[in-house]
Amino acid sequence: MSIAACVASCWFLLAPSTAFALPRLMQSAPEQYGPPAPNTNRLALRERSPQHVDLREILSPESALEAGIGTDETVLGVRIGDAVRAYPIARIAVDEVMNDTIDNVAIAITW
Amino acid sequence: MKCQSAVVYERKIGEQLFSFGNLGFVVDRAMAMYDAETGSSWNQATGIAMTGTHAGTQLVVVPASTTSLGAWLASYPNSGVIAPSSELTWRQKVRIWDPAVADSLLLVVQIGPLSRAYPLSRFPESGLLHDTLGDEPIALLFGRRPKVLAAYSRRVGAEVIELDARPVTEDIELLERGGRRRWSAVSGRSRPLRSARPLRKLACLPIDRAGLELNYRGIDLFGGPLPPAPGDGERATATTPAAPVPPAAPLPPDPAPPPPSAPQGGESDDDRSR
Repeated sequence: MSIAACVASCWFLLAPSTAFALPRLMQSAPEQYGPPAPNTNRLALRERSPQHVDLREILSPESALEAGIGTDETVLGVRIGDAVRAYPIARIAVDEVMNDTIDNVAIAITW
Repeated sequence: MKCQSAVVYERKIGEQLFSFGNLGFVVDRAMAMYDAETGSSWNQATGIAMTGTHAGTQLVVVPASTTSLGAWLASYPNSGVIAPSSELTWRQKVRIWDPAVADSLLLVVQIGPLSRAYPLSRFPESGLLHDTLGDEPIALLFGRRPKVLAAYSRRVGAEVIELDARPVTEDIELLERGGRRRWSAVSGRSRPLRSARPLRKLACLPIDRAGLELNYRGIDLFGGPLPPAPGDGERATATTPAAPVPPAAPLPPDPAPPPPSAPQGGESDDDRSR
């Protein structure tokens, strides 16, 4: 395999940011490519499986501050029933979507 | 570049429960996500399914407070906090309160099928903006110190009130204009607790201008159309055909204030049901 072919086949490793542009390109020519197909779309190079909040991830306020979350950290605060939970956006941004259940209500926290 | 939208959705439609994952790319400046159950793809900024068996379906927004951890814990000292991640978080830069970009951000408020976008640059110095959306008198808060971004109904029982904002320690107090009632901006609860009905929070989400124009075409803009952004002559404007917006949870009647003898700190009405 030539070097050029090698580079072409590994473009996503060399320039991963171009993966963000491709869906827009696809949208501009839907008759040629069609809409992105979830799960089977080979362009979804960074696809991540659904992340659910683990009970071990839920800290008390004291533990959260000890863990290094500053009081100025921006959070999304949710209160459902008697359950109250704060989701630091810095944490949500890792997967950009987290699944959780509060007081028997299933929610998705997104960024 | 994503559009700064932080949104909480209910992930159940009818009897169908969804588990969402990140598809790994951005569409119209919004994360493309998928549900593991049906494989439908969804737009994160609108909550609308783009492809799959649920194409066109919209998720319901759960009212949430965008604020600082300190302010949140001051209102809810027993709140759980999701642990930080050890992964690199180069993408998580929150710029809602960054003066350099605040002029390009808007707050979208949704009440049922109605929605309106409020440029943060059009908020008064106090950070509190009054408006009426449909029949609903509303107040929007873009508080800087402490950080609070939220929207409320100004209907308290049968009354429609006007509010003033006053920063206090780790919160912003909302005061009834010409009255004596006051509320926490973070929680919407009365101060002192249970001295009045809570303010109902409304579904809202921050979004940048480019994200708005791509995902909320035709949305009503508070204060009229925005001036052209630098180098933005050909971008779609608010005059383009309207796109559907995700439904917000309908407003139920005001919760009745609890009896004075009820113990403090245990209000059962939650943000979602307001």
